[in-house]
Amino acid sequence: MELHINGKLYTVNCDASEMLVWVLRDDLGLTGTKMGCGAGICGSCTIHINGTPVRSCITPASAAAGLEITTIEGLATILPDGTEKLHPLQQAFIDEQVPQCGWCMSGQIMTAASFLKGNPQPTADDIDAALANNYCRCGCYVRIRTAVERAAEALQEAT
Amino acid sequence: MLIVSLFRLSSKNINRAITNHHFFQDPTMSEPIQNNVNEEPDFGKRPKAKSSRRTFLISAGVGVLVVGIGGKLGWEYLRKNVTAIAEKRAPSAKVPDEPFAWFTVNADNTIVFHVPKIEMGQGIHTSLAQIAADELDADWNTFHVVQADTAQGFDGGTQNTFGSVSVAALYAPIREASATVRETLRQAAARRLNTTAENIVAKNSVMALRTDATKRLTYGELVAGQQGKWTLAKNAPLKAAKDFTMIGKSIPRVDIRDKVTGRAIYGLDARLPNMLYGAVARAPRYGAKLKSAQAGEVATMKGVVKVVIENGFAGVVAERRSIARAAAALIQCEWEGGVTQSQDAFDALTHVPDDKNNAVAIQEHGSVGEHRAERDVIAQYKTSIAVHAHLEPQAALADVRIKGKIVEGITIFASTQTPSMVCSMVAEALGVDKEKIIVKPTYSGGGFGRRMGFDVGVEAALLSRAVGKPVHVGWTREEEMRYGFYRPPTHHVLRGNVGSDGKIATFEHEIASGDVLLSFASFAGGAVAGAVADAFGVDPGALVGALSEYDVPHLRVLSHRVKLPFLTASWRGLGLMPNVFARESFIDELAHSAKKDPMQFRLEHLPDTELGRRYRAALEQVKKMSAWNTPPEVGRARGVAFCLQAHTVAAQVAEVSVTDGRLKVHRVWAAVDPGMAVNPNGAIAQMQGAIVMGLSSIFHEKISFKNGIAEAKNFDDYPLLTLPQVPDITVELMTSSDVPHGMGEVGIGPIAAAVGNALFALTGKRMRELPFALEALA
Ligand code: FES
Ligand code: FES
Repeated sequence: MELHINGKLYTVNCDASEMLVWVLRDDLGLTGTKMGCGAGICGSCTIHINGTPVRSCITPASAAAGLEITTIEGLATILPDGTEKLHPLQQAFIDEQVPQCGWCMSGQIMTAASFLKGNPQPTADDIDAALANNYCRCGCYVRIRTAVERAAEALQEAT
Repeated sequence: MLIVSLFRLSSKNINRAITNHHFFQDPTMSEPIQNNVNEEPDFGKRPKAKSSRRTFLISAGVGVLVVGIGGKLGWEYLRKNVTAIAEKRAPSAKVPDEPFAWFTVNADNTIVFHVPKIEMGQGIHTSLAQIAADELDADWNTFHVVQADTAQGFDGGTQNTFGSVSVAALYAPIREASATVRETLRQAAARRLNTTAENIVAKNSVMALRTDATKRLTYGELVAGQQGKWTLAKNAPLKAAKDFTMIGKSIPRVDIRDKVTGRAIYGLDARLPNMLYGAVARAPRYGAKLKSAQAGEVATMKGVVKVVIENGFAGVVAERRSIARAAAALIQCEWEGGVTQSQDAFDALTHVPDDKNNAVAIQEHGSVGEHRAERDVIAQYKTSIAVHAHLEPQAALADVRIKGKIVEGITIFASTQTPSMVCSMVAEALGVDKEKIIVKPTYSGGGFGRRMGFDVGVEAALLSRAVGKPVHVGWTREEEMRYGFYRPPTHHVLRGNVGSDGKIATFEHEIASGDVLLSFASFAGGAVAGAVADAFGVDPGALVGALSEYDVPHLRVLSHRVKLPFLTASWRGLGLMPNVFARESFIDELAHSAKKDPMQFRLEHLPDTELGRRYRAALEQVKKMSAWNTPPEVGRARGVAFCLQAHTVAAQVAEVSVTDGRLKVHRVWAAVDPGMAVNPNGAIAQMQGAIVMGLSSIFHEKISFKNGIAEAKNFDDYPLLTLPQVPDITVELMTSSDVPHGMGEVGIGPIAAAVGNALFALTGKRMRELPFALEALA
């Protein structure tokens, strides 16, 4: 099976029913995508397929074949000089010092990135609703809220 | 002993080291990890495999210095520290027998700080690095923090990470070690610049002449130019607080970039070439023992490498994780024993008994018995069984290397809070000397007490030994919910009365709790420690937060140990949340019985001691922050509570409303006195996180057993608090000391009572159970 991930082409040899999260993590070593529940509840495993947020723990790899997969590893931009330019959300999560253990963060950021594309000027309630199904056991929620607001502003300024 | 090892890096390595902060990857030692199939990951190799790349400028014997702290987990630890824990002090620092190394100062002027404590989210790598870099006058940009493994030489007590004591216990030892290195380098600079040490100024990893800053040598140049052995400076003076450049500043976390880019490596992410995946057969009842197992057709399933059945253990090694799990579930197992009861049996056990013969008085003065009165207020409180729900399931990658039948060495990568305990558990399970085992702690995706005593390391090691290849085992959420250990249930009976002078005359608090720390005595110390623990009668962990802060003439706190047939142990704050919830809610009940403002009532009952003054300051502060004396908007009410833990005082006010029978917590204000905060923003994050975790316990968290097994399998049955339920949280830090106290847990103490007290003020309904019986609001 061929998978397009972060602009690269990967060939994997596994059952079509294998969940994408394990293909990414175990077959391809892309461990930036995390796993917290394996049941579509916690959001840790969120990636984008053709720009839409998807829970990779309940998405069979075959469902993504031929489509554009983006994981946290592909969210930043690599500039021509080789330096990494973080996505405004990643930058905002640093500026607000959001992560504690960090396990949920890929999922939070991927969920928020897709949300802000569709809703560039969100209210606080919009943000709460958009991230309502992303767990953070360390309780970084207050900062997540602020960081998403901050990233929204940064994205507005950039456009 | 501290051995300052000195290496030169190739320039390629330096660049990589600076752009890659995989913390457990010592940048001086080998290439950074590429966790990518295109390049073979190599982080599992021991550093010495690459020693040819480095130039040893000066090898062993460069410098020797003894600094450290002691304290081991298990019975010895408990015995020595029971008083300390009960009195809420951190275990004290003492010199260990083992040598260990804190720093590697490199010729390229980079410094590697080998940090013993585990980063579980609490920001400990950053705080400890700040302390070291400040005292060293090191350049922060070239100061690298690397997780020490168990071969680094730190003893288990220094490495194990729990109880909010990491900063408090290591603050002085790290400063002393750092100051010694700094002064040693200053003396070397003085020799090289033909002057005396007083004329040399240390700053940003450079030693310069005070009168002419162009005459300067970097720490790296001093290291590179050193002839012969180093003599370490003696009695190196510590910096004055006014000269701190890093301590007390909100320095950004050292792990943050890796955590927003997905590069941070945790136990579940550990990878080695040729690794396989393992899974273990699980019993249908908690604690059931494997009587017999038959591999049957599982052995020939496609992708199965080996079915391992030995000594009460049945597991599978397979090429893929999914195959290992499916196969493990198909092994035909016969189980015996184990828990059979359902929740009502445990509820009945978790009860303050009428018979006080086995109770231990942990705090007593005056005579409560003689001052009981008709008007006594009596109330009972309860807290549920809960899981830790750390979001990264526990995971370990074990690489057992065997020759013939002999185990030559074992390396284990694991997200554990207690690497030395993993070492002991694996040594015992495999019958291998501890010296042959190296545990390399990774980042942990949350710990909260669950990563102490760490079953998955043993499972991965047993499976790896069976196939002679690295095997990774990562638990599922279901395994976490059903086969780990739990926050013990508690029951509290409180009784007291307020005299006609408006003062509390008597206060009694009886606590019945499942074990918290004694369980580890049998975990780590075998049957003997378990038996001693049984005779001990009181669990120091269950008593955290149990001592009353109030000045009351007749007071008694009694503890009853509840023995449950399933394992209960550490959970964030140990006894703190249940004990403070019960006491601070009950104090509110007494205040209302005396028709007093609950804030004022508390302020009128504080002891005239140094602690009492700190309580007062925190309460006054949170009173001001929350504008306590200005009523909230209509339909809302506020509640207050406070506590002390790990020497830190936390006072909180919560503001709530109820709409259509649904509780909403709008705001929480917290005034916190941690002595001083090494990293204020990090301390605030801990307070915010602990408040959220406490709120989650208020709203949701409850495990119940049915026929010997937890009913919840995943988060659909055991939800956690999410963003829409999270209030605005305002935290203010206060300074009362020149040394830092604990910050990781204290915030979880007052929150349940603060919210419950607010709810009572609003509705007249008293919440006496965790989670709250919110249906009562409808
Ligand atoms: S791991 Fe996919 S939603 Fe939890
Ligand atoms: S940072 Fe630990 S779960 Fe969110």
